[in-house]
Amino acid sequence: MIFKIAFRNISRQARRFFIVALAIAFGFMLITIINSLIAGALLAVQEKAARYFAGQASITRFNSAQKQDFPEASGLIDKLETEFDPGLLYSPRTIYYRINSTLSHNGQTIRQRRLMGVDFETEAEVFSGLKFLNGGLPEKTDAGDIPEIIISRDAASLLAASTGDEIKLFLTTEYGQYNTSWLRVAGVFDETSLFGFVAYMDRAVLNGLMDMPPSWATDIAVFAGSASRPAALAASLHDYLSDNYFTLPMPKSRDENEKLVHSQKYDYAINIMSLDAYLSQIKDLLNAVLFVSWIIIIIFVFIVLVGIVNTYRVILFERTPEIGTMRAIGCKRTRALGIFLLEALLLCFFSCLAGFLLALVILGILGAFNFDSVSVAGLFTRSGHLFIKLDPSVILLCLGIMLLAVSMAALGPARKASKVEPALALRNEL
Amino acid sequence: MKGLMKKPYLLLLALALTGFIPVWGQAGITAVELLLKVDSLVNFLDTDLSARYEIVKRDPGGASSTTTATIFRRDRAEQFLILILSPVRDKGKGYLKSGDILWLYDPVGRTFTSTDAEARFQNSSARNSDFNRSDFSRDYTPVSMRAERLGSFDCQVLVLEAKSKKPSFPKVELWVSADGLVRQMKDYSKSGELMRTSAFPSYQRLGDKWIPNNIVILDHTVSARIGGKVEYERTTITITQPSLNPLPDYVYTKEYLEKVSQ
Repeated sequence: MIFKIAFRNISRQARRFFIVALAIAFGFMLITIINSLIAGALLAVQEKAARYFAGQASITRFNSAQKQDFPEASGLIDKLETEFDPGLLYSPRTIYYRINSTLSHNGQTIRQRRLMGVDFETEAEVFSGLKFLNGGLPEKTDAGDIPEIIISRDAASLLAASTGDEIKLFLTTEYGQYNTSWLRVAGVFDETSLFGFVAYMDRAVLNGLMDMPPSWATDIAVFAGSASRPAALAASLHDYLSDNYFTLPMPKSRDENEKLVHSQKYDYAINIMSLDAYLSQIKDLLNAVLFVSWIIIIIFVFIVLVGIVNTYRVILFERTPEIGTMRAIGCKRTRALGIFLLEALLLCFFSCLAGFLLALVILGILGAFNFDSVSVAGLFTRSGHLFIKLDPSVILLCLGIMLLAVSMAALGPARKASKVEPALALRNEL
Repeated sequence: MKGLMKKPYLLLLALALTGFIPVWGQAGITAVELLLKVDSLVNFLDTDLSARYEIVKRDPGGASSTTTATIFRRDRAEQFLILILSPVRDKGKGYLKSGDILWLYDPVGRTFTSTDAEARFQNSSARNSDFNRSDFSRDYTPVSMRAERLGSFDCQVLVLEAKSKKPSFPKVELWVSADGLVRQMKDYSKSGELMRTSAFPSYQRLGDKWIPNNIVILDHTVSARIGGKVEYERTTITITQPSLNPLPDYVYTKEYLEKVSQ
């Protein structure tokens, strides 16, 4: 009954509540947009990072010389698939970590920061999200044919190379000997962020250039999907592997990992890194941005709520005769208070809904823009476009906070209004 | 003189009388023996060697940078210590080879980190391994030898292949002049690609040994197309103030490097 009364009061006095509704809607729109953009940015970063590093979690084996060395990664992969979790994707990778590799074409030479040997068939889904300007993934080549490589847009631009061109790769073998090879550019991928400073090629080919057997690897990449929690996955892997192998403690960052690897002597050691640890610095940055944005939102909401308190005070003062009538016909104080609070909650709910819908429209418009020309944006976008993630739990949490805040703001004026004496209210002597 | 040229044996006799016999002119010298000779002429196994090195790196297109360093070498123990004197930003940095490990010292953080022999020295075309003693005879097998003229030098060209996976360059070609000194060296990658060409135009004598006056290295892995022409990175090393004074053992220690870097 009081729900009907409250709803009717709002609908009949829409003009009175319009400013308050507008303020709440604007505030909720802002909250939704900021949360969605930051969550989307983080997801975009994670997706690129999983491909660039080695999945949501990576398993590395260090030998007694503290060098990465996985002689038979496939054996461990079989074990993980049968005993740990068959639903995950495990892929051996050879990651060339030294900074001395270069690519040359037509007299131009560039340093190639990172060289990745992958099994493209195994990781077809991982690479399905990689956008190409031209060409595509490398194909298997026969012995004697020129192997293929995919390079980034920036590398292609600096080398003045394109799909089909032959470029020369320089690197050193695992024993420190210099080696070179001609490679054909199979494709140029569009990745302008720091995750673009990489070239990908077939793992067996890279192993050969490094003078290692085709089955050798440096890492096992574990892919669990963008919705997974990398830290929890890595912790589970760590628990499982430490039962059978000497395993180093889990690091929280790459710097910490470096110290752990070199802190002790061992015959071999298994090391597990979660994607969160790889991204610790980027996540710190995003969390800082999120923190600052939440501070701004809280300040804004506080200002809105102060406005709501004052506006509600005025509204309820103007409705004094109405309140007097309600009280005179038998409406108790608590019931009157309930009606006013419910009005506030309904107003907040529908205003938030309007703000949410407006946020969707604005996010849609923002998503249509291409931010390729903004250099930093490449890290947080997908093919130049903002990646938007609407998390229902976060939206519901924000709605809950707004409802609570508005009800608290309306509580004071509502309590005061509910205490009005009917006779005095009807005489309008307050 | 013309009469001597017409009768080579007379020429050889004349040269022998002057004390100069082309090394590979001696009857029966093999490629292996020549390689041993090459090493013996430039290694200082009985004493220490110190000298000042000026390393000028010129990028394709013209930008250049200069590094000066003092180098102490003890060939009999395969040790060396390099102390960077300039530029200011690198002053105090040092390299110490002790055993198989090559350490890089950073005076800012006062830390030692291990580095690789094949890594570039101060980002130039020179490699850290270039400061080792000459060990061609130990690390390489000569697979062929041929005669070739190089500028004003009559040379024997030795084609060498690494005996193990330890040497940075699996294949090397040496142009050895009549006096047993290397005049040109070409380093090749595992796949046979030419990586560097090093020229040794002249040498200075120290006792019965030799060290180059200067070395010019062309790095074929770093290039740029400038005005339609391909230019390679070039590094010129000038060696001055050589000395064979013996040095105390503590010179080849981390503590000494740390101390002098300050």
